[in-house]
Amino acid sequence: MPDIEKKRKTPEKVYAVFAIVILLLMMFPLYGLGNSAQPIIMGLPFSLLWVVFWIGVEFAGLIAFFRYEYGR
Amino acid sequence: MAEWIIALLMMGGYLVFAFVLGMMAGKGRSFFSISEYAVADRGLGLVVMWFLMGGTIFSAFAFLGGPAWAYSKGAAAFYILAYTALGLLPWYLIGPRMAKLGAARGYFSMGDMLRDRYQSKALVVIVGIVSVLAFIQYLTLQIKGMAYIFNIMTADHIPFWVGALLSYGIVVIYVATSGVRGAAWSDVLQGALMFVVAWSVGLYLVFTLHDGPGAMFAQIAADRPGFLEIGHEGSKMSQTAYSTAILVSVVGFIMWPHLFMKSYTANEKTIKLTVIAYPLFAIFLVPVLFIGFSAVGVIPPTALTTPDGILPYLITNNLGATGLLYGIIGAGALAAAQSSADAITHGASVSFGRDVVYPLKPDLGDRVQILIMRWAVVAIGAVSYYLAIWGAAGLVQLLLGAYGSIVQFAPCVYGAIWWRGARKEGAIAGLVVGVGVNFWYQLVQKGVTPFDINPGIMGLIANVIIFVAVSLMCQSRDEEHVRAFHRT
Repeated sequence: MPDIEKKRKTPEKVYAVFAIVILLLMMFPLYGLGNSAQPIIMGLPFSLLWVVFWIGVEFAGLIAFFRYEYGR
Repeated sequence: MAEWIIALLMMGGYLVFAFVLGMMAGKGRSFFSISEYAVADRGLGLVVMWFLMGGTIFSAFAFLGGPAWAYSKGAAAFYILAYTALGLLPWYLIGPRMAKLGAARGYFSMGDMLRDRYQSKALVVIVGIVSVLAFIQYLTLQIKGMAYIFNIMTADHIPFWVGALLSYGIVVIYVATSGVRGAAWSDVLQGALMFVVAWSVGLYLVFTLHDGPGAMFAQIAADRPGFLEIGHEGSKMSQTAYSTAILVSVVGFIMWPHLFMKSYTANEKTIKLTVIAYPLFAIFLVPVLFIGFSAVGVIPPTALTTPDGILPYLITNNLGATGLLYGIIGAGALAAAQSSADAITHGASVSFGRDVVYPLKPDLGDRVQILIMRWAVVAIGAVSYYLAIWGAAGLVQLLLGAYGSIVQFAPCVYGAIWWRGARKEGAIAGLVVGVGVNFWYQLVQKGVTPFDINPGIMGLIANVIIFVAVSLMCQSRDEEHVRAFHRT
C-alpha cells in the first residue's frame, strides 16, 4: 500500500524537540514540579496526575504532527 | 460442579478459541515464504498492528508486576506509565525509514539492516545471540506467569508444569504455523479480553475496598507520607534511579528486535498511527496500578510471600469465590501473557534464523531458512519452558544480563540510520563494551552504581564513547555501501 495521501514531509527536528520535551517532563528535575501526593485532583494524587496529564498532551501533539503531514 | 472446574472450563474455552484464531490467521498464506512468516508480506493493517504492539505492553509483567509495583513501591510504579507512553516515540522517525529501506533492500530482521549498513557478520551474530538470550529470559517470565495463573485460578488443581505446557504449547503451535499473522490476530482477541478484565477488576476493588480512587489515595497519602512521591522520605525509589529507568526504556524500547522488525510489517502511515495510539495504552494501564494501590494498608505484606502475589491474593480473598469470575480473570491474565509470548517467540525465531544462522551459513536457500525459523519456535519454546518450570541457576545470570543489554543496540542502530560516519569496528567495540559494563553493574555489582544511575545508562555512556571514537578512527576507508544505504 503506497503512502499516496501524504501531503508534507515529516518535520523531523521539530518532532525530536517535541519528544525530548515530553521525556524531560517525566524525568527529574522537571518531574520535581509534579512530585507531590497532594492535592488529589479527579481521584488522582498530583504526582500521578502530572504523568497522566502530559501523556494526554503527548497524545494531542502526536495527532497534530500526523494531521500536519497527512492533511485534515 | 466445583468452582475450580467452571474456571478451568472457561480458561480452556478461551485457549481453544485463541488457538483456532491463531491457526486460521495463517490459512491460505504461503507456508514457505520468509516474507510472509517474518513480516506478513509487509501488509499488516492498522487495527491488527495496534493490538500486536499493544499486546507487548500488556504482558504478564503488567498484569502481575504492575499491581505488585504499585503495592510495594508506590510512586515508582508511575515509571511503567511513563515508559509505555514514551517508549515508542522514536519509532515515529525510525519506523517509516526502516519500512522504506526494508522494502527496497529486502530486510526481515534488525540484523539484516545492520549487516547491510555495516557489512559485518560478527556484529549481526553478536546482536542475534544477545537477542535470543534476552528473548528466552523474557519468555521465561511469561511462562511462569501463565503457570501461576492457571494454578491459582483452579485452586491448585492444575500443577505448574501442566498449566504452562497447555497455555504456552498453544502459542508455540500457532506461531510456528501462522508466523507473525498468527501472533497478530490472536493478539486482537487477547487485547480486547485483557482490557475488559483489567478495568473491571481495578475499578471494582477501588470501590469496594475504598470509597473510590480519591478516598483511596487520600488514605495512602495520610498513612504513608512519601509513598506516592519519588525520592522523598518514605519513597521507594531515588530521583536518579527513577529518571534513568525511564530514559533507558525510551532509548531501548524499540531496540527489542521483535518490536523493531514490526517496522517491516507495515507502511509509514500505519506505523505513525500506531505510535499515536501508544499514549492511550499507558492510560489503559492506570486501573492496573489501582489494583495494587487498593491493597495498600488493607492487605499486610506479611500475608504474601512476594508482592507479585498481590493480584491473585485480592482475587481469591476479596472478589468472592465464584468459578465464573475466576475463569474470566484467568482468561484475561492468560491473554496478557500469551499476547506477549507469541510476539517474543516469533521475534526470537526470526532473530535466530536471520541473525545467527544465516550470516554463518549464507548459502542456505529460502525453504531451509523458513524451516529453521519454524523449528526454532519449537526449540526456543522448549528451552524457555524448561527454564521456567525447572530453572537453571547457572543460566539465570546470563539471561538476566542479556535482558538488560538490549538497550546497548541503540548506538549502532541509531548510528546506522543517522550517522554516515558510523563504522563496523566502532559498532562492535561499542556494543561489546556496553554489554560488558551493563553486566558488571547489573550482576557483579548487584545494581549498585554511582549516583544510583540505571546500569543500562552506564553501559550506554561507555558504548557511545567507544562507538564514536573507534568509528572516527576508521574513516579513511571508502564506504560505497554506506552511500548506497543512505541514498535509499
